[in-house]
Amino acid sequence: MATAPASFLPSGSRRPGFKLGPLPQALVPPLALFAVWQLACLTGLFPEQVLVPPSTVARTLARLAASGELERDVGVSLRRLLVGFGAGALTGLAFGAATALSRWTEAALWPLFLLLWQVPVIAFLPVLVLFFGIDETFKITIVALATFFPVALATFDGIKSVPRAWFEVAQVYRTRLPDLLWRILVPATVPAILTGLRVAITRAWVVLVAGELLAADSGIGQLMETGRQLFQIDVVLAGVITSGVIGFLLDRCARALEARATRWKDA
Amino acid sequence: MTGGLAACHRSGANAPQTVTLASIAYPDQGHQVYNGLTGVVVRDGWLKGELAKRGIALAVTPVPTAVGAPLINEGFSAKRIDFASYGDFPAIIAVAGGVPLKLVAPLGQGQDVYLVVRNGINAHSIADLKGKRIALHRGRPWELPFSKLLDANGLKPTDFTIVNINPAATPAALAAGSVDAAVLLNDGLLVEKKGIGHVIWSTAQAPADWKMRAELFGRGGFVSEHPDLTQLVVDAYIRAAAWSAQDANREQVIQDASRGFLPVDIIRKEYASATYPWRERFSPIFRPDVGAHYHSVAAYALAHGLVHDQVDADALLDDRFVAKALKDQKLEGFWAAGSVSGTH
Repeated sequence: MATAPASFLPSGSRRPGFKLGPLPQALVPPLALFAVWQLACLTGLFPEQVLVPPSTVARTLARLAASGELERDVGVSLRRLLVGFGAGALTGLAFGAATALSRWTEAALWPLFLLLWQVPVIAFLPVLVLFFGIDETFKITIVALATFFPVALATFDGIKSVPRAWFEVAQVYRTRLPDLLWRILVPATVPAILTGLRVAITRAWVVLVAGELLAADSGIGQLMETGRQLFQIDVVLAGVITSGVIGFLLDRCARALEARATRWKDA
Repeated sequence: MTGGLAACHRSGANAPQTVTLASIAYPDQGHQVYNGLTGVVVRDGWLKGELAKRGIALAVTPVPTAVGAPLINEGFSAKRIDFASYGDFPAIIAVAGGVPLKLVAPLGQGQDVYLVVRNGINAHSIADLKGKRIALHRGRPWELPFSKLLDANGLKPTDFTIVNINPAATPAALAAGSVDAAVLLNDGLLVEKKGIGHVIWSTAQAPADWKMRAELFGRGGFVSEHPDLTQLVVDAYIRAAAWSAQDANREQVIQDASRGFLPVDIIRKEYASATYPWRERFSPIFRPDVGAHYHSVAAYALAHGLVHDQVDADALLDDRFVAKALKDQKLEGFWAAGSVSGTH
């Protein structure tokens, strides 16, 4: 998209800012942040226990990675994310489609859905602990809940935004239901649903880490909480960076998938 | 509190405008009830009055037991608190993390730690709990006796699933069956009384130095800059200890210890099982066993990778203030100079 006009530019007229690809450019602010962080530590204005230098955090990350602790905790968290996200996405899709396609279910269920959607998932945590304990079910449920709402909403909106005329045309041509679904409904709603899934996965990750901070025996959130309790702020920050990078990568992958799946729209 | 700190720097003079004291506290009927001697110090009002005479305010920061020691360590590290009455292990964690602290007054004989098993689990010893889920709030003082119990039985933390949840959430987790056992202070006795589970082991069955200890700790910088104010704070705790040690006040002490949620008869039963005289429960004496306890905690935490740096336990203890307080309050000889914890 952006590459086409560039080829029309006379050589030598390219703006210097474009020399760096999009990725190196994106690396400048975090690197600058690390540099300022390290400098702030070197000034000695803050006690070292409060502001741990990034070099120490990097060493801690390397130590956690070498001992296998990081891999284990990240693995556990990602597994919870995957299972919870799968369950939440499927139920969200089904619920969104059912309410959008039937006036009766919409009238009956949609107001309650909108009401519950306003409540932050974090607020459900104490109740969920009572129902599901603190085992895997609890963590998978919060991920599923965090996924369910955005996916259901996106599916509902996606289906509702399909013009009525398309259905009428399909009726005129006596289109069979599978064809209606596969050739009209799916292509028309996929962009909205993919956006919903992308929003959901990053949200689910944040909620999972928060849930693990509260009650868990493993996972990246628990690594951070134990670090805090044992006053190892370097471990806490290593966890913050790891969960941030994972959240970022999840969003990036979801965006890439979304762009790939909706390429036909630009064609 | 940060305002107080800023004001302290602004004043330019030696004296801060506020002395901040943090202590584990429990909400009871809309009030914060402070644990142990801090509760007596706050109610007594003597410290507040003495500081006020010098134009200094006393700020008491309640710390819920659910968050506990980590919050106090963060406060010490950010210089938001000057004194805290809290546990041995978190204090060692803070010092190992580079936050200098001073133990300015020991507080008593230590507290028992209980291993509670929920109903339906057939376990009579820690070995029977192999493969089971045990609730343990990491970094809290009761982690060490538990760790020692595992060692003594040739077990490792990886023989169990250790679930890191706070003591306030633990009874519900036991009742719901989310965990099979829990390491608790005397709230473990409450779990037993409520019929959720039963105690299968306590530090009362172990050597005396297995008990957890809580003391009055001061921030290193504050203690060296303001020895006069530190003396006042220690004086207040010795006053409180002497008051609590009176037989006439025994009933009030027991009522206070119930903190609005532990039944009084549980406290009475626990206190009655002590092998030392009532007054020794509040002893502020730097007995040899207090020093030995901190050496042991520091060595143990390092050996088990719970801290990464060696803590100099001798540098932690600062007995100047207690010695002066005992002299000024004519309490020399009131408490025993040697170990009183039975024959262990």
